[in-house]
Amino acid sequence: MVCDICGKKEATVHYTEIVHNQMIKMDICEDCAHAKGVGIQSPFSISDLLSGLAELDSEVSAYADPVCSCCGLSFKEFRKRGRLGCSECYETFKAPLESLLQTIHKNTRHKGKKFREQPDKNISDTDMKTKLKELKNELKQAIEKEEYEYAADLRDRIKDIENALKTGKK
Amino acid sequence: MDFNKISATQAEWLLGKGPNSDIVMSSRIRLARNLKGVPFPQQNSPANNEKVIDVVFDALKKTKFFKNGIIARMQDIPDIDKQILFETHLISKELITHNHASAIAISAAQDLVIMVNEEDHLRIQVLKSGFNIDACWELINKVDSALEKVLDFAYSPSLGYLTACPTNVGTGMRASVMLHLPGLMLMELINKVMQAVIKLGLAVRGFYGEGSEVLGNLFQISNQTTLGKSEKEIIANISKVIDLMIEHERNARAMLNNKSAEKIKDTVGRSYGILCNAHIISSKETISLLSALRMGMDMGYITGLDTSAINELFIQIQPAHLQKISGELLDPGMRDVRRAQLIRERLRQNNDKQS
Ligand SMILES: [Zn+2]
Ligand SMILES: [Zn+2]
Repeated sequence: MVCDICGKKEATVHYTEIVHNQMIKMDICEDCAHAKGVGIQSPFSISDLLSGLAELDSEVSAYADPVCSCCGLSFKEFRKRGRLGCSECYETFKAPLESLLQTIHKNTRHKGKKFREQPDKNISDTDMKTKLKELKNELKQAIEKEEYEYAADLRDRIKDIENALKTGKK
Repeated sequence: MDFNKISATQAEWLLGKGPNSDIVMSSRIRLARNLKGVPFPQQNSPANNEKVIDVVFDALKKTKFFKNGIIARMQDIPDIDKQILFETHLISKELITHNHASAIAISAAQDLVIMVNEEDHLRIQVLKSGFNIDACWELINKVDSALEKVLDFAYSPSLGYLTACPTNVGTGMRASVMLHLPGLMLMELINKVMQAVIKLGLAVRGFYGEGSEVLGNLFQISNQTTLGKSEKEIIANISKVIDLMIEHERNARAMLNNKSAEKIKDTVGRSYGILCNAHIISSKETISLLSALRMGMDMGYITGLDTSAINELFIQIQPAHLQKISGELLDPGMRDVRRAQLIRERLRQNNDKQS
């Protein structure tokens, strides 16, 4: 059986492709399979994480192996075992972690459940106005600190509350 | 409830009920949580690790979730029962192998498990049978909200819940679904589908063992990232992918039914025959035969067998379970004999019940 793609080499890889909800059986050679990227890739693993850390080498050398004052873990040790020592480590190693988090999550900002936040169902207008003031303050600080992604998130939340206040008054 | 019942009672997540349970075996969600101001377990002092367990136990006893369940320190649990919990997928290998103080809490229905001092101070897990990831979230969110009232969690507004491994920071959530995909496997479609899943940012693993080897056509699909998306978004994303996979698997089974029904019936029938009559059988062979049998049941070729009994066999044919049931240590050769015996008995019981 010859390869369906190049029509030259012996087909050794057999699989089925879904094109427009139609299943098409393919018999192709190893070279063409390789080119198409057929075969299950292993998922993102801790070794990928550590190789991600190796890329940080140049950045890290700028720091003289910082040590977390809370738990005593050094950044070098973290790189060896891939686990942080305590929640303070996130502050201590903030700069190198930021690029690592970006690599892993393609994001650096939490969006989701907030610790001890009450579901704001029957929240009053005055409560909303207080919250609005808080958020606007936070926004100002975020812009000063050049945390633009966080600022954008805050702007969204401010808009939501402003809209809620408006529709509530109607 | 004691540990003997764990191997004997039916776990909720093995019942084979719930939406799309002919393809989705079970759904689970876990949340990683840590106590504020306390080093993570690996970095913590032995005395403080003990203290964390005390604090968490106090908090758990204030909630109603573990009534009639188990709350225990790992050091107080016999080795064989630890292995059983691991084979049942209720606890991780890490909880058994690491050498600092740790503990577990298991609800009476075995649908809620909390590991204390695994990689993080708390690993909360909820398991349900079938494609039930929303129900998992509903329960685990309730548990987390009850616990955060009495426990001070390490949390930052910008990074979310802080975890020992940066791969879990943010929501601290891993949602996973276990799929039985014999149709896609037989149609040789599985690689293609799995590649698409990986491209969508999800992780794929086999159900048994550690490596990349997939046994019994059982696949676990889970989210890869935890930061930057809300829990609901993560769940919606994975649900969308699972819906597609269910559709593909159904298409594959329909196609097999149309084109090669006799061939599939033959495979299923032979698998059933071996399981009913073998006297020596390895776990590897068992798992692939059980997979064929499940497919035969789900496609309507074999009737009268109880799905939960077959699901249980997937778990009980593992070494620790066999030894617990036999009440003695068994060398691998003996295990293969006892395994075959157990399967024969279970399938016979099942037939007697039905007829
Ligand atoms: Zn070719
Ligand atoms: Zn630290």
